Parts: sequence; structure tokens; C-alpha cells
Amino acid sequence: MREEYQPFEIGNTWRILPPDCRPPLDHRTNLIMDRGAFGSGEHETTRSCLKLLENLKIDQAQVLDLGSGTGILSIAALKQGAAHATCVDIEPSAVDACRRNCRRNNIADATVHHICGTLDKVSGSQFDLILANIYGDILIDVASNLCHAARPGSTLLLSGILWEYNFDVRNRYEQHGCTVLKNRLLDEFSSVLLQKTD
Amino acid sequence: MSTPQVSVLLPVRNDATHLPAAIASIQRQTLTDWELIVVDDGSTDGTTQWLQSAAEADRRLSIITQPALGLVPALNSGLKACNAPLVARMDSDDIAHPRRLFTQLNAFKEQPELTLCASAVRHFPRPHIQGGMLAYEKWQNRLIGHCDIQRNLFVESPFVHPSVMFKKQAVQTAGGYRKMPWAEDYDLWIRLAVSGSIFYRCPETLLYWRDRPERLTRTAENCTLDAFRACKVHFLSQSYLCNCQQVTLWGAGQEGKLWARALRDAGINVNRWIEVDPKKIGQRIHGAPVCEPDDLNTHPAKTLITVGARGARQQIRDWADQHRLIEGEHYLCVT
Repeated sequence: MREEYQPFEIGNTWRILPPDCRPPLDHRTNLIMDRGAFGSGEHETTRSCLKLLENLKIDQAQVLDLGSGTGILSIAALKQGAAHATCVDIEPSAVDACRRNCRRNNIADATVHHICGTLDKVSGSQFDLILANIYGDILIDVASNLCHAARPGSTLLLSGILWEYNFDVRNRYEQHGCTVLKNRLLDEFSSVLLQKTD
Repeated sequence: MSTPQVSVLLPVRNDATHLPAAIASIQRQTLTDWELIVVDDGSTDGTTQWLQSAAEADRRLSIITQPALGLVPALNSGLKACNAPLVARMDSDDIAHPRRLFTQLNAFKEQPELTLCASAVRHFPRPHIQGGMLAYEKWQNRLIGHCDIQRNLFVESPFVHPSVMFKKQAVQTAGGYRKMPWAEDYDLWIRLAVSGSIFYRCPETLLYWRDRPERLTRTAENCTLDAFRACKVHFLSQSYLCNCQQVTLWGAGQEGKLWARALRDAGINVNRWIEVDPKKIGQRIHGAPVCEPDDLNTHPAKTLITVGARGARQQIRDWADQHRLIEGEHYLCVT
């Protein structure tokens, strides 16, 4: 049985709420999420991603969400105007949770491509927005492939980076043609917003 | 120029790969009133050039360039150049938490009697860390107060060197760093303890400790188990075992026998072994009888606990408590 939780707000845009909870009618965008092991918004890295996301212009964007977990970041991006999301997670149960949450948020099936596996299963270099809320050492390992998947001018939002990896992550992505736009240092983790410049 | 609140002392030799991240972590400290003394110990890999440009960009950096003299001379020349009364050690491949200097400085303000304040540490990259290093990390991170640190001083080195902040005056009075056949930091901790220093550890993780194959802790001759044992025997023979020619060892395993040999070289013989293994009880090892723990009740004598098995140290401490044996008086844990 899933544990219930109280609705909560993040930034100026988002409200996270459990299924069957009636939201107030206001300007906020509701993200209806099961509470699960893969992040329904409480964790500081997810909060940080959502705060950074709300200021991005992503109309009609093609999104790649690596380590998508519950899908909260992709769902938020789609509700903010993105056209399509490719959600990748190595955990089958996370992929199930993501699929379930997409339905709860009335995201059309055709709008999301769910992949159970690693970045190797993603082809092309067409993504306008890359979301990766995963550990810093993995971000360093996949830097080359992740940057390859990003089209020039695209945005990369990397999070889940423990303090000790922050410098190395930024350094590695700069070596792959990215420019750091924002570096948010949280209590234990950090988030980095980058733009692929070439 | 006014005296900074903290001097950060960072020796380096040929580490251009990691040094920028280490220094960046100092530059983004919430406490900004610091100076960074970098001792460049004969680098040939571009470290020197990188440091020169970093020092031009940030006047808080001072670079001491010397030929490759080694870590101890580098530490001592850097320590001498530190202008602040408090010195924070840092290594070229580690990362400091942004609140590290503030938190440790605050500990000294709240507890002016402190001599040295360490912090909890966390190894990285995490996936490659072996069980022994994780156990050490967990063990030393739990030693918070002075008494706990003091009573575990001979178990292992209770502080990770780049995690400490200390009073410069106290370290200089203790003789600074010494080149010995064992680790220079452990040597210093014990000398500070002998001189009556007060220790503390901030429970927050303020240093991220990079593990890599070429790390000194793994490769240096003065960081082997034999070197640590020799260091412990050296200081025990001047303190707990001062004027003792005989000692009881609890643990007749391989480690115990290595201890017996090291003690014998220092002129201290094992006159009794304590064991819980019924196969060993009643035998004689190196001429000394093997007895069961209860023998300590009837014939108490200075005893070193050399049992290294996980969990055994605490079991022995619990047993000793029940039998009113006092740690530091009747027995001492040394592994």
C-alpha cells in the first residue's frame, strides 16, 4: 500500500499532490504523483530541478529524461509546453511508476517514449532539453553520450550531484562543448544548468 | 594586510588534475576571511604554472615553491608561513564542503579549549571504495568527543589529516611534523594527545576524501600496518607501558603475534595471552601461557587488546565493563 502525503508547492509554478486529492483552483500547475521510491518531489535535487525548469522556455521541446524515476521532471516539462519526452530508467519498477504517473497527469501515451535501460538505447542528437537527475559519478561517465544526444543550443539540466562531484561534472561537460549557465549548490547535492554551445 | 581568521595549508606535488577542484572548494567557502598557503613540493607536471596564475587571480593564495623535499618538510615550511592562529589542513585531491571553515572555526569559538577540531569525512568516488576503507570512515566519523577520541587513539588514526583544523601554536609547541618510519599525521596526533590537547570532531561531513590507486595512504611505506604498529609501540612504551617489561596480550592470532614481536623489539615481553578459543587455552605461545579472560579478574595486569575481528573490540569492552576493568588502566585497545 502506498503511503499518502500532503500536497506541497515548489517554486512559483508547481504543486505536487497525491492521486485523488482535489487541488485548489489557482495558477499553479499540478503534478499528480504516487509517492514512491523514485522521487515524488520531496528530495532537494528534484525540487531544485523543478525550480530551474520553471524558468526555461521549452515550447515544443524534445526532452530526454535520463534516470526518469517517477517521471516527475518529464511530466513537468510536458505540462510546461514540451512536445515529447523520452524517459529512460534502468529500473523496471521506475518505468512502471513513470508510465502510471503519466496517465494520472493525462499525458497522452504517444507523447512519452519509455525506455527501460541505459543511454545506449537512445539514438539521435535531436534533444532540445536533457534532464538527468542522477549521481555525479554517472553523469561524468555518460558525459560524452549525453552531450552527443543534445543538439547545439540545447539545455542540459543535471542534478543529483553530490558536492564532491560538482567541480568534476562541470569540468567534464565544459570539455564536451557546454557552458555553465547556473550552478546551484544545495545542502548536500547540487544542480547544474548548461547550454550546449557547439 | 590584516591577519586572516584561518590559514589553509595545502602541500602538493604533481597533481594538476585534481588541484583546481580542491582550490575551487576553498574559494567557495562561506567564510571568506582565509589565506591559502600552497607548498609546491617540486612539481613538474604543470602544477606550478597553474598555481602561479591562480595566485595572480586571487590574492588570498600564497605559493611556496621548493625542490622535491618531501611531505614533512613541505608541511613544516607551510606551517611556518601560516599567519592565522588556526590552520586548516587540506590536500590537493580532496574537496571541502563550503561550510567547512565556518563550521570548524565556530567550534573553536564555542569551545576555546580545543586544540584540534576534525570533521566527518566521506570517500569518493563511492563505487570503488572497499569495505575496509568504508569501515574506517564509519569508525572515525563516530568519534565525536574528546574522551571517545582519546580512548581510541591507539586503535587507528582517529583523524583524516586534511579534515583537521588546529591551533598553530599547539602544533609548533609539540614539535611540528616529524619524519618518522610511520605516518607523520598519526605521529602528530599522539604527540598532541600526550601534551594534553583537547580534541573534537564536527559531526557534519565537511571533507570529501578522494580515493585513487596512487593515494599515499595506499602506497607509502610509512602507512603500512607494520609502520602503524611500530608507531603505537613507540608511543605506548613511553606512556601506558612506560617502565613495563612485561605485558598481557588479548588475542593470540596473527595480529597478536605480530604485536608480540614488535613489543619484544622494544624490550617488552608477553608474559600471558588471553584467548576465548578453547583450543588455544592451556597452551603456551612463545613461552607464555594462554589463559581464558577470567584470568584477568584474578591476576589483573596491563593488557593490550589486539583482536581485530569486526565487533570483537566492543564485546571485549562490554566484558571488561562488567568485570570492572578500566580502559586505559587495566587494558588498552590497540587494533
